[in-house]
Amino acid sequence: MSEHIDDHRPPPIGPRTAAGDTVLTVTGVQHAYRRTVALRGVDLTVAAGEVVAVSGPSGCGKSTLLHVASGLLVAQAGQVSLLGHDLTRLDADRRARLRRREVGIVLQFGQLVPELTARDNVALPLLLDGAEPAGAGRLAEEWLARCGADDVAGAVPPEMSGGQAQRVAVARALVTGPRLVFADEPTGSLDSMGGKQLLTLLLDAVREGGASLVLVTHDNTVAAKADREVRLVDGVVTSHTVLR
Amino acid sequence: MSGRAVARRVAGAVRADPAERRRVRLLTTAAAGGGAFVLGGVSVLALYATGERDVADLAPYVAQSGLRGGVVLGAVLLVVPFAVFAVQVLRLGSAARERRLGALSLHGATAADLRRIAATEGGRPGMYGGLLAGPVYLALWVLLGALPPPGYRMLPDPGPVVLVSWLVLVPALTLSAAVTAAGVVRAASVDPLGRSRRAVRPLSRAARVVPVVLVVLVAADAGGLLTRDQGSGALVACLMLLLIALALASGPWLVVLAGRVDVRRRGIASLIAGRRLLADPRTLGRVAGVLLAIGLATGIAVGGLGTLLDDFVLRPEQYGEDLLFYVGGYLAALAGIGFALVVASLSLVVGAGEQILDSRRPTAVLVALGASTDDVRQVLRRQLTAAAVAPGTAGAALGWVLWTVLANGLGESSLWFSLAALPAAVLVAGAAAVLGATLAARLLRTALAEAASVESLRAA
Repeated sequence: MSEHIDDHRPPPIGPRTAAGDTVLTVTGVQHAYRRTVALRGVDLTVAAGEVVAVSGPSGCGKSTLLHVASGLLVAQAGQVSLLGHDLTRLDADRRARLRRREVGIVLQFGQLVPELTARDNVALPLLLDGAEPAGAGRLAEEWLARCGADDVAGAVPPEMSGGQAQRVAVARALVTGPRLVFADEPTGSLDSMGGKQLLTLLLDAVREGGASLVLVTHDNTVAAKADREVRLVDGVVTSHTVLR
Repeated sequence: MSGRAVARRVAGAVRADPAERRRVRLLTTAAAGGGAFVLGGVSVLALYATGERDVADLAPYVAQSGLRGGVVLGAVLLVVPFAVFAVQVLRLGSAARERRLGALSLHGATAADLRRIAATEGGRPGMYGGLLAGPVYLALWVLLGALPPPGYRMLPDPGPVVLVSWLVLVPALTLSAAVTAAGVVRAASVDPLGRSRRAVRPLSRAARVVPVVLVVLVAADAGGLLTRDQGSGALVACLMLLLIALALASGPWLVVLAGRVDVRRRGIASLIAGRRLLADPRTLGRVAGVLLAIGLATGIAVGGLGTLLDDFVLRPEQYGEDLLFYVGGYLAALAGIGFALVVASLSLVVGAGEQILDSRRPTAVLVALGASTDDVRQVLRRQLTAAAVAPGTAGAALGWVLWTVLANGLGESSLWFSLAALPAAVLVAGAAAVLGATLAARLLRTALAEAASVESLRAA
């Protein structure tokens, strides 16, 4: 990553895995919150450069699957292999390092750190990885410009609109040049026009670099933009549909 | 339904909430502790009225009418950390409470209704604390007034004055807790998507002069303009109370200063800690004010010890067995300061715990982006250290300056101990502040781990 920061140009998002390689394998994953079972033996694979939509109604376990697949949660049963790493064998700090270097995450409502400016929010994953602040700041500004959010670079999240915050969140997810991006309802808080623009931005940026994207959504029109749709109902995968 | 009935109903409904029950317990404790020291001060003050007949078993600091004022002042000053602790506790759970009030406001509750609800929620534990202040005072009297051997007792036997004071204290504490609770409440704004945003009141720009006034007052006193030549006990006591009030008011500004320094430092933990301090300087600023006041008192006490030892070296024949009496007085003062530090550390835990709760979603986002457990802990440690160390050490230095003039410490006696007292005071205050901040960080590890969990991404 340091060479990307040193030459102050946005890094390529990928590919670092040969086409056809699997970047994510989820096998027989189960997870429950006390008595509420969220996932009941879910299988999922994502190939390098593939965009997979995980769709389903509210409360079907989509977000839990994303949390388990990205190493934010450890599955209570089953296996998760992320970029060749068995997540069940990594401790929390190693999973954190893997996320900050190889994975980008876009959450609903942007989920920016409220005290930090847009520039600092985007630079955050780089700074967490020990990057030099000035270089990280410059790279963050370039990604903000690429995502059409350079006008709010110095603003803090409470001063931004929902659309601006989501653009900043996309820039933050892509700034490290991740091999896999997870997006949890990225358009959920936006109007239809804003949602379309953001989705186009995210898909273009991801496809341009050949990275993979796991897109969690309850919106069928959003899911239709993916290469493949995996439908989840009550914590069980009910269908796999190849869309393109 | 009238506003008062709504207030009672809402207060009754939230009583089942575990966080609310904890808040009531802590506020009751703060009111009871502060109230007990008020009763202690009153019982010593009452000796002026009863004359010298009841002082036979008491320590000389209480028995001698010339020194008694200092003990009363000490008791009053010990109420300060409890009062700040109470305010800190009143803000406890305020994120949830403000969202609740925001929702009520959305459904038509007026500002007066919201204040009434907050007053009802705050007044009840104030009353419990007032009722408990009597028994707590009795426990304090057993510890300081009955257990020590004759000649060393710090509290006289409780009499009718204490009983009457207690009866007055109960409604006074109820009222002051209710008024303070109504004063600190602010409704969160709720947007049409149901997300709420807390209202953070910015610091008043006019209040920026407060730290300047504090330094000017100390400098004026150091220059002999206030108490050097005409220093009566009452004037010194007034000056001390004024300085303590100014120190308390300076706390948030010291936090702002520490935040600005942190933002300019290298490292993501410093940047986030600094920005958080700047975004909400009041919560930790209240404790920073107390720690500044504790630092002042430490500087005065350690400076006093230095002057005493210098004077003893020059004129040992004047002291004889009295040296123990003076050293004992300073050590008792330092013990009181240590006790105040414990209460202040609890306030730090409560305040920082509240900030952790408020920022649990951003904390979880940090972890989602790849922050390690240590990164998250480092942010907290930096916040706590910034709020504790700078005020503690600055206060100690100011207190030393103040003392050296009040006691004519410099110029009339040997300087070695007096000069050594400055680094000693700064070191003692700094070490105590670091210890308090470290303990607070350790106590908050579980709360921080909960905040960093993935469930917090869905927190309101």
